[in-house]
Amino acid sequence: MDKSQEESKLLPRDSASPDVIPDEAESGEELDAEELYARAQLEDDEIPGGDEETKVVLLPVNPHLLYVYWEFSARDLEEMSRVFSRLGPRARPVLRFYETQTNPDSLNSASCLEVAIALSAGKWYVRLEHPADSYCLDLGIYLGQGSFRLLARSNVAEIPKVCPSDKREERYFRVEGNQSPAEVVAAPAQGSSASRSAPSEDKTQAPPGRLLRSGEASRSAQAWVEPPGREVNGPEHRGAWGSFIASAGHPGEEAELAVQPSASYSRPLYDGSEDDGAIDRELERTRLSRGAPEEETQRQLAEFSRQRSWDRAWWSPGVKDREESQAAAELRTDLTDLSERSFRAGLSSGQKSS
Amino acid sequence: MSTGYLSIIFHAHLPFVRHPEHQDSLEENWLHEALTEVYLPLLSVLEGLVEDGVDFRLTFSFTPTLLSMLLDPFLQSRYLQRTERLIALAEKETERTAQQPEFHRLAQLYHQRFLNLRDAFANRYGRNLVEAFRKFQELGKIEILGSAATHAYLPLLSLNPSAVRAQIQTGIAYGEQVFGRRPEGFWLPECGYCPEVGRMLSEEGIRFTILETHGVTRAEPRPKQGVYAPIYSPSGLAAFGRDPESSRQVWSSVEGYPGDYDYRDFYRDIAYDLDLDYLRPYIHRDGIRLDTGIKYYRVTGKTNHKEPYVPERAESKAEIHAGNFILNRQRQVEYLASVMDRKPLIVAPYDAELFGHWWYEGPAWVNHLVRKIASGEGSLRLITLSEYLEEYPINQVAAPAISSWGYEGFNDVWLNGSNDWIYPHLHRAARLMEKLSDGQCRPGPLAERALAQARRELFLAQASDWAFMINSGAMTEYATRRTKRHLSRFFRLGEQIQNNAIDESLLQGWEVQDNIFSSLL
Repeated sequence: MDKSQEESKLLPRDSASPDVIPDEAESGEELDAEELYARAQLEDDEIPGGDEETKVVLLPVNPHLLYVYWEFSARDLEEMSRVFSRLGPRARPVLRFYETQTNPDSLNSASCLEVAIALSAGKWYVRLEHPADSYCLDLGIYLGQGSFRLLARSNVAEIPKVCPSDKREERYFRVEGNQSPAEVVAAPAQGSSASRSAPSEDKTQAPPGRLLRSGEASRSAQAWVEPPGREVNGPEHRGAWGSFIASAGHPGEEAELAVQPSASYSRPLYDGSEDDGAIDRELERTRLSRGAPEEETQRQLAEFSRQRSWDRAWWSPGVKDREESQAAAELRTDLTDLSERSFRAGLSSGQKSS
Repeated sequence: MSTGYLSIIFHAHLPFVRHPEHQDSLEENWLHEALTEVYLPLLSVLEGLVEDGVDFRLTFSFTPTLLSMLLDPFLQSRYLQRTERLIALAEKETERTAQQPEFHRLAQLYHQRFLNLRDAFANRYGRNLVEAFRKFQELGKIEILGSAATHAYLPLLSLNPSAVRAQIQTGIAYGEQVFGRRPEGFWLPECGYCPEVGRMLSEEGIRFTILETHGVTRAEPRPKQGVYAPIYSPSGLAAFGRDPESSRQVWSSVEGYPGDYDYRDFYRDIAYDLDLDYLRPYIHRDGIRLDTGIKYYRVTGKTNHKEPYVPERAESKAEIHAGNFILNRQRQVEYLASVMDRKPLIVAPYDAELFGHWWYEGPAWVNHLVRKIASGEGSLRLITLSEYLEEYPINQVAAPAISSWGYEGFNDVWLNGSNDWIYPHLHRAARLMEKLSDGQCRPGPLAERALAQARRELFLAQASDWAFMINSGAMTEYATRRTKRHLSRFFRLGEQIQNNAIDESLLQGWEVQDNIFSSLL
């Protein structure tokens, strides 16, 4: 490659993006480039503020934690200042949460809960023990004598689900190429084993370990605001989360579900050697072991090394050559349950945290 | 006759880290490492497979930020400079290790490897790796997915639908521009899904996406096939669920293949073992020890004691692990096929950077895996997701669940006490962008330029990488600086556009520095 070709490679291909390359530039151009960059970076740390309308925004962090932030217009800020100087502590700012399935105009006020806040914080984290499907909230202030001043209403936020649905309706689409989805009348008759061991459609009994659903327990909420510099997902938060879960009836986290030291970490799921409850315990034990002390980690590693003989399959559903209870067989053919349990057992093992 | 399908997806992403303002950039080194350890080695695997007539199907998603950097002449030039330095260092290492046979042989291998990589990058591919991957797309061997413009975590932007739509539309358009084909599938950054995002993907003509397992298992109503067949969202978007078993087997830091004792140790680099004066010409200009990629030891065990790396043993182990992976998938699909009304599909997405960077032997594992499957080992077949939809166009309708592949499966990584300050700014910026785009501002070439730059700055501010880094505690200062820089520039541009008072020289500086999507915006 001759020099002119080499230089042309260094130039931007798009005329809309004139580029300067300090390493390659002539000395005079290098000075220009430095000036250009120096000027470009001035005030980069300053984010200009806005002066918009008063807003409150609701974002779910996870199924049990909501993040709320709010901003005031200059006019509302002045008014708030007047209210607080007039009423003092009698002025009580709150977040008022509503469960909502549709739109915020048809809120059921009977189902609301309130969280007292400090307006100056600008943000708040709210923990929900038994979340509904979706929420919106009002930011407002009690002015004394039952009077409530609404400042802003939030967006509607859908809350993530904590477990598979019990609804077993089957509808099917056919989607081909760029065509619109077309509903087909019945399930596709594909393959040779269509109904060999399909689960019963009328499965009203929930699988073992089913989590409490929205509405099965009284609603309650805890809230806090993060002091400056404190991270939400630190140990304190985690501890609070854990203790809450234990009271919510999640499988495996209750005290009586003791860890079984002899169980293998990487034992295949559904190997049929234990009853359903034991499967739950194994999964949850694995999940709990994420925060295990060093010796437990070492034990798991040793166990894993022992298991790591390469002629052995990790994934072995064990449906062959084994007598099973009908319930266990049904459970194995519930592929959503299989997927979900496998996911929970490996939760965080393949996920990003840092 | 296959009993089931396996779809392997490599998600290739790096944030936009282009720093012409610095003589030497720590962050640009991320790109250099990925080129040397991941993209070029994976291309080499693909080349070998095609040369040997091996039939295969793999899937790649390249984020537009990565594509933009791979196509950037300035960064291409810097990569070549970096490679030249590596070659010189490896040559020097062959001399230094002359009396140490176990290391001398490795130094020679590294020297030859770097020479080969330079030849491939500069000559075989003409510095253009995007074109190199495109060739395999044209051959029908790989399917390339689209992705969001700057790897924004879309669920936390969905408060402003226009922001999500812009990320999706620009991401698709850029992918189409550089690969010459509109993607059928879309990789959601961090697998971040919420219903609004699904609807918008359908509106843009996207046929499918990939979700973390619980995005499918917690769909409404309950999917009948778990994650072993896709579901259709109410808008007709096919959602494939990630298989947790194959994910854990490869990716897990505890039990995954990469931790095998025969594999190369990631952390033990000569950059930290040798004298600074010896290394100085080859590391950062400020004397910061940066990984050189020259690593002489294998994992060995759990202690700090390390034995020399033996490439032949590592290669052999990669082959064994490929066989083990197939065996496990084989058992899996045999069982699934016995209870399903169709051939089951195992969807296995991974960060591309795992293969070669974190797991040095990853590309070799891919090579063995593909060859073994093609030779009939097991009754699995590799497939792309669009091929699966061609074979099975009828699927259950279920609304996918809110989910991500982040820690705990939701938004925790990108929204917590360390990084929540970002979102009020991003939401306000999206509202301002809507105002700027409504045609009310005074038109003209300069205003158009300023508006295009404002879009670039907003896209760059929306990158999920900054919140991710701030949360992880690594590169926090850099990530905070980048977030503030792009937000600051965006708001100042917005003000200038609204006041019809554009500072052209300032604009020029920003155009030069933050030049992403300059061929599109």
